[in-house]
Amino acid sequence: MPRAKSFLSAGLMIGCFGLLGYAGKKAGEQLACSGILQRSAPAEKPRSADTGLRGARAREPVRAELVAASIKRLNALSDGSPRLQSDWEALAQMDGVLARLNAAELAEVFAGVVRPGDENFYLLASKIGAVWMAKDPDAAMKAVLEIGKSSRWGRHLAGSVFGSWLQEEPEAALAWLDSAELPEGPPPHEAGGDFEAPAIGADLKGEFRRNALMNLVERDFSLASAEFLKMERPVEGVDDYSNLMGLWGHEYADDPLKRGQLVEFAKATGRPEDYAALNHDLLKAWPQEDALGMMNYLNELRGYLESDAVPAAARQQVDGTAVAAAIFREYDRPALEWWMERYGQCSETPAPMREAMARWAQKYPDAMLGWFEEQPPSPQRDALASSVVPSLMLQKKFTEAAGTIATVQDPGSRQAAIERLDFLWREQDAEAAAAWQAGLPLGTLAEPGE
Amino acid sequence: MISWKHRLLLAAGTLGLATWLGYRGECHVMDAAGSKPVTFQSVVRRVMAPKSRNEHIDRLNRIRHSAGRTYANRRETTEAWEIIRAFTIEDVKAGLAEIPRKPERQANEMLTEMLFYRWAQMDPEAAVREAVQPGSYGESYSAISSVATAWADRDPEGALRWAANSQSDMAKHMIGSAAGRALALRSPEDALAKAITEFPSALDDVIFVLARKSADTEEARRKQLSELTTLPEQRPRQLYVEQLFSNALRQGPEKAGVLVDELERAGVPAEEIGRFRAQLAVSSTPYSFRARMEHLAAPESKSIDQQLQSYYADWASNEPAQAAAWAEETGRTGFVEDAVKTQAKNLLRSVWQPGGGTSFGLGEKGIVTQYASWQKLDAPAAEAWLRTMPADIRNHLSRNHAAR
Repeated sequence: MPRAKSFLSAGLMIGCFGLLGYAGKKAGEQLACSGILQRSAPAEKPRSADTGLRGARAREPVRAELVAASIKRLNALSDGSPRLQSDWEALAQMDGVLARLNAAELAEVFAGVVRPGDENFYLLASKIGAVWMAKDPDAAMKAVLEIGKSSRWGRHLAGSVFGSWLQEEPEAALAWLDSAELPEGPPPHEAGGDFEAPAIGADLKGEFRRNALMNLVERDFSLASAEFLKMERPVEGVDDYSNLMGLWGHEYADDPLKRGQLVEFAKATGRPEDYAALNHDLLKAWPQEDALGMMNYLNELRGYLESDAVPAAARQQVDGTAVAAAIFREYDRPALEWWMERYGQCSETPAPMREAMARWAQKYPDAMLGWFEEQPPSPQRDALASSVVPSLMLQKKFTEAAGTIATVQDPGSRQAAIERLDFLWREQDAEAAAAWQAGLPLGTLAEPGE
Repeated sequence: MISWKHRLLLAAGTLGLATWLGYRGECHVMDAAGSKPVTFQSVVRRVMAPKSRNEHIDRLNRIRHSAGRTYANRRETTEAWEIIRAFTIEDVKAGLAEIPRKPERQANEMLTEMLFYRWAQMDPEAAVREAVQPGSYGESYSAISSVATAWADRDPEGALRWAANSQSDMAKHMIGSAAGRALALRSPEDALAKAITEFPSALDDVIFVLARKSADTEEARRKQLSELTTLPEQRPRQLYVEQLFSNALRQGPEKAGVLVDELERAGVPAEEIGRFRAQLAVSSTPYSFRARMEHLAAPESKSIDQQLQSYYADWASNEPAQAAAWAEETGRTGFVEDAVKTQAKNLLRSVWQPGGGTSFGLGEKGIVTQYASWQKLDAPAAEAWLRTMPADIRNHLSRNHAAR
C-alpha cells in the first residue's frame, strides 16, 4: 500500500506539473498575441543607395544586335508559354534577358515587345517597365503612361511599375516621385473607361504615394512614417479608400509589434484625426481570440482620451471614433456609459458613432432598445435615438421605431423621425401606418402638399 | 522524497519555462510572413535533412520574412526561383512543409507556387494529387495553376489524359486549359483534330491559340477558317471567329473593322457579322458616360426612352453634375425628376441621416445637384414634390441640416 501511495503521489505531482506547463504555455501565447510583452523592433532593413548614374546610364549606346536578340527571345518566351504568369522558368529567363540591357536598350525592347491587346501585354509591360524604372524612371514612366492609354488598366500598370521599383529602391523611388512631372490625369471614367478600376481619384502622384506607403510600412517603417507626414490627408471620411492610417490599422491589427509602432506614430503625428482613423479600423480588425490584448488596449485608450493629449476641438470626434469601434466589437455598454458621461448634454453625434449605433440596431435591436429604455432624457440620447430609427425602419421594425421616436424629447428630431416613419410605413403597410397615425396628436402629420 | 521547498522551486521553474516557450513559439508563428509551429516532426525533419537542404530552406524563409505581408520584390523572386529550380522532390516537400497556409501571405503563396511548379517538372502526377487533396492544399488555385503550367509544358497529352479522369473540376479545367494551349503551340496542324476527338476539355484553348497564331495574315486565317467550316459542328468555327474578332478589337476598332470585312468576304454568316458590327459601333464610341449617352440618344440608335432613362439614372449616380448639365442642355426634365425621386427613396429606405454619415457621400451630394437642376427646368413641379417629402429630405435639399 505505501508503494501505491507513493505512485499516486508521484502521478499527482507529474499531473500538476503538466497542468502548470500547459497553463504557462497558453499564458505565453496570450502574452505574445496581446503585445503586452513587446518584442524589440527588428533592425530596419538596409536601404538601397540612390543610383546616381541614372542619367549616364540613359545615355549608354544601344547595342542593336543585343536588342534584336532580346526582343526575339522575349517574344518566344511569351508566345511559347502555356500560361506565362505561372511559368516560373520562362519568367526567370525573361529576367535574365532584361538584366543585360541598359536604359536605352530597354526603351527599344519595350517598344518592340509590348503591344496593347496581346494576351501577355500587362505582364510584359510591368516586367520590362519595372527594370527600366530603376534605370531611367522619367523615360520609363512616360512610355508606360503612353501605352497605358490604350488599356483600361493603364493606371494600374503605371502604379505596378512604380510599385515594383519602390519595393527595391524605396528612397530613390520616393525621391523621384517628389520631383516627377506626372500628368494630371482625368478621373478614371473619362480616362478610357476604367469602370472596373477602383476610382481613387485623378491625382496620379498621390495615388502612387498612397499605394507605395501601404506596403512600405512593412519593410521600412521609419521611411513610411516620414513620407506619411508629407501626404495630404483627407479631413473627413474614415471609410475613405485613401485613409491610409485606417488601412494600416486593419492590416496590422494582429501583429503586436507593428500595431504598437503604429499606435505610437499615430499619437505623434499632431493630427488627432490620424489616431482616430487608426483606432476605427484597428479595433474592428483586432483578433477575436486576443480578448486580453484588446481589453488592455481599450483601457490604455480610455486613459489617453481622458488625458489632455487630444485638443478640445477634436475631442468629440476622436472619442466618438473610439467608442464607435468599441460598440462594433460588442463592448457597447461600458463604452456608451463612458460616452454619455462625457457628452450626455451635447446634441451633436459624430458620424462614426451614428454609423455604429445604426449597425448595433441592425445586429442587436433588442439590446439596443433595452439600453435606450435605461437612459434618462438628454440631448445626446435624442441624437442617438434619431440615428437608430432609420435602421429599425430598414428592418421593418416600425412599431419599435415608433416607440423609440416617442421617447425623443427634441421636437425637431421627433417630427423629422415621425415624418420619415410615416412615409416608409405607408409604403409597406398602409393600414398599420394609419392606425399608428391615429394615435398621434392632432396636426403632427400635415397632409401631403400642405 | 522531494521537499516542499524544492517542489515549489520546480513548479515555478516549470511555469516560467513553459510561459517562455509558449511566448517564443507564438512569436515564431506570428513572425512577419508567419511560420508553422515547432513540432516533434518538424524538429526530426530538420535534424534528418542534409545540411544543404536546411541552408536552402533557411534562405527561402529569410525571403518570406523579409517580404512579410507584401509581395516579394524582383530580387527576392529571382533568388527564390534560383534556389527552388535546383530542388529535388524531397527538397520540395521539405520546403512546402515550412510554409504556413494561414494567414495568407503573398510571399508564401509565391513560394508555394514555385515549389509546386518545380515538383510538377519532376513528378506532375504526385504534385497535382497533393494540390487537389482535401485537407492538404484543398484545390488551391495557385498550386494547381503552377502544376498545370509545368505539366502542360512538359507533356500536354499526358496532362490531358490525367485531367480527363480527374475528380477535381478545378484541376480538370486548369490542366485542360494550359495543356490545350501547349498542344496548339507545339503542333498547330493536328491540335484541333486531337482536341475534337480525344481532348474536348482542351478545345476552347486550342482554338484560342490558333486564333492568336493565325492572326498575322489573311491567308492563314482563311485557311484555318475553311478547315473549321468543314467540321460537322458549328461551335469551333464560331469560337474561332469570335476569338479573332476579340483579338483584333483589343488592338483597336480600325483593325477590328478590317477583320469584320474580311470575315464577311470569307462567308461568315450575316448574323454573326451583324453582331460584330454592333459591338464595333459600341467600342468605337469614346468610353465616357456623356459620349455613351449622346450615342444612345442619337435618333439613329433607336434607343427607347426607358433605356435612356435607366442609363441617365446610372450616370446621375456616378457623375451628378455632368449628368445634370446634359439634361439641362437637352431639356430632359423627366429624366432629372425620375433621378431625384429614385435617389430620395433610396436615401429614405437606407440608414442615411441628413449630414450624418460618410458612406452616402456620392448619393447624398448627387441628389442635391439633381434637384437643383430640376428646379431650373421646372421649379413649380420640383417644389410641389418636395413638400410631400419627409423632413429629412426637405431639410437636406434645402441644405437645412440643423433643423433635425
